[in-house]
Amino acid sequence: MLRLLIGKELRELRRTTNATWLLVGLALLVGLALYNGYAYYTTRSAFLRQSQQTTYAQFIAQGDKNPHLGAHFGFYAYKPTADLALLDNGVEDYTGNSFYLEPHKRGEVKFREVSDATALRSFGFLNVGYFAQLLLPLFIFLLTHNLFSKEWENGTIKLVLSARVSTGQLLAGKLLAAGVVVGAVVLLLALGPLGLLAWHLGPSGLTPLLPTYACYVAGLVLYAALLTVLGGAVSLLTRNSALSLVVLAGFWLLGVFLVPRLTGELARRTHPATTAVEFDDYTFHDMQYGVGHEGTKDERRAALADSVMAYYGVKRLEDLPVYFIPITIEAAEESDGRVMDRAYAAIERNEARQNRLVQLSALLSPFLAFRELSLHLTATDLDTHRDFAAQAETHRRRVGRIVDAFYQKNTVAGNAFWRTVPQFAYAAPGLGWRLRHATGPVLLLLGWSVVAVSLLVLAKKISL
Amino acid sequence: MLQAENLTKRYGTHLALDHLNLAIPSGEVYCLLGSNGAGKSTTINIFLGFMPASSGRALIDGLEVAVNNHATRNLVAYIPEIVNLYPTLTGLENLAFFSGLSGFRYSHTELTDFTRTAGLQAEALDQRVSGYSKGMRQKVGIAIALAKQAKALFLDEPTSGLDPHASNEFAQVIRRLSQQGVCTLMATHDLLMAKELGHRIGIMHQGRLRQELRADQVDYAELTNLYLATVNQPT
Repeated sequence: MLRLLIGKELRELRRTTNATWLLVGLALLVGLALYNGYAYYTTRSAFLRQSQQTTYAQFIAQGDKNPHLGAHFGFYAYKPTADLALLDNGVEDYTGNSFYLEPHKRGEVKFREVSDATALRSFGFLNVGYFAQLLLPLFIFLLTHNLFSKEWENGTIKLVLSARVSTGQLLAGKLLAAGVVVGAVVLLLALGPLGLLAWHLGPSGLTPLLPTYACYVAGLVLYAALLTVLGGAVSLLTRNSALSLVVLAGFWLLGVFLVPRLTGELARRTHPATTAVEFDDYTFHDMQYGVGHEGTKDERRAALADSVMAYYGVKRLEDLPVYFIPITIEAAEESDGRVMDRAYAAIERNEARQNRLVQLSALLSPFLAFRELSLHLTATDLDTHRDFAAQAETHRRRVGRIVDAFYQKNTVAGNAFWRTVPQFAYAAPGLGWRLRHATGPVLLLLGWSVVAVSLLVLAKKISL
Repeated sequence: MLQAENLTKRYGTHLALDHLNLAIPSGEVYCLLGSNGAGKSTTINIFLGFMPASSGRALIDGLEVAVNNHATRNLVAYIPEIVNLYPTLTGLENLAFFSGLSGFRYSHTELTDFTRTAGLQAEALDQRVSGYSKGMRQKVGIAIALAKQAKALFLDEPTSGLDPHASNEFAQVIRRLSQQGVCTLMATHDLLMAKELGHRIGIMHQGRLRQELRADQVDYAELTNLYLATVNQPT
């Protein structure tokens, strides 16, 4: 029975000219999304890899210098492009990708792609993630808006209902038929990037990605399925194709454009971001007097001198067996580090509050729930970015400690020393970490699935 | 085969069907006459399970429709005033689909036999239904009913808009089915068709069955007068 229903739906679809053009257009868009994603991933990852190697090579070949001055030469820590950024580049363009490792200063992540992009970039970047979040729902709604309503409009519903088929079979058959078409598109979205990654990385590079990739595809399947059921439910509930299309297109517009913008604005107003001036004001006082009000810089320096002289059992700084300046640098580094940690923690807390509000808006929009999941799984989310910034900062302090330790006994550092300073290599957290951070979006997607199925059950009760 | 026991349907305060009692044995063609809103289509819709009765029972082959809707659907076929089919499918594909929905899998030859019996030209079978006339659609509807091997046939104004030749062909098919034991409940405005085709005729007015008579006991003129007298009765 199901095969009969599916076959008839697909035959009707095949013979509908509009549907054919819709599918052709869709295939072209998927092709373009794949090309864009691949080009973005390959060019960017190659560029960042090369940049990281170049700046580090320059650092370790800087020659003889005072160790502290040499440390100021610095080098960049680059966030490598995540392999799954081929699917979705997430917030990468907005967060930047490089962190300058230099003494005293906690670096800001620099080189945001959007700063070099044209205004057209504000419309988004067409890749698989963008397609899945924005265009796939529209396609599904165009496909399903008349899935049931056409039976009333054609007048065939009475003939169908007078047959032996049960309403459950009818429902399942039609939804599965839509599922076959949607499934074909999802399959294309799943296999296309996988093929490109396999081609680019080879089997050994691809294998570690497969568990995360499987989770992404599972999320995509759930998302597409819930939208298909939602489209079918609205079609059954309204029994009018035009009305159904208006309802579904309105829901799409609301969920894709209006809700994110309104929530963004609300987040901005309820939890305003700290400005650069406010940040400087905030940190200036702590820098001058210490996080725990330990005293002025001079007072803290005097206290440090006393404790170091006591440690070495001498009465004068000149009698110390080590240079005192690197010790003051190290102490200042630690003190300023505490100031910056506190300031950045405040910023991150504010960002987290803003983000929570944005994530909550997925209660009104399944598209946003999938977007969040997509970002987390492809390691292009804000949490991963923060993790990168934290690891880069840790590395910066580690470099500082290495240089200061060397400086306590040497006034000149040569390439032999610089080569001992470790290169930065960022390893993004694994799947378990990602899934823990994606619990919210996963629950929201499941919640939306329950809503879609409930609506379908209600529609069946009312209409069939 | 078909029984209505005090069948009643209310829409708010409006009484669309008022305690209808009816019993139609196998092989009988029962024609329901009446003006628009008399309750003819409501009766058929309740028998088909498209709407619930407010009170009373509709039974098909002893099974109560409201309780055994799925089982009673297996026993009936329905031909509406306009047989609506899937426009992008051919006549044969529509027939295969609807008979499939009723659990029958027929070969191409068997399907063609049904359409031939229903009077559909062979050259039309593989054309899309979007190009069919009303009469051709009606014939596909008959073929669907034949293919479903129904025990009871419900016809709602089936000859409305058909030319005399098509109407005559339609009547012949119904007669043949009647001879095979299929019972038919037909709602119609066509008094002549009711007189020629029906075994019994019921005249409804304002939801009630006002007259019931044997078709062979009245001539066309008497039927017309009786019909007009019934439907012109004051409320």
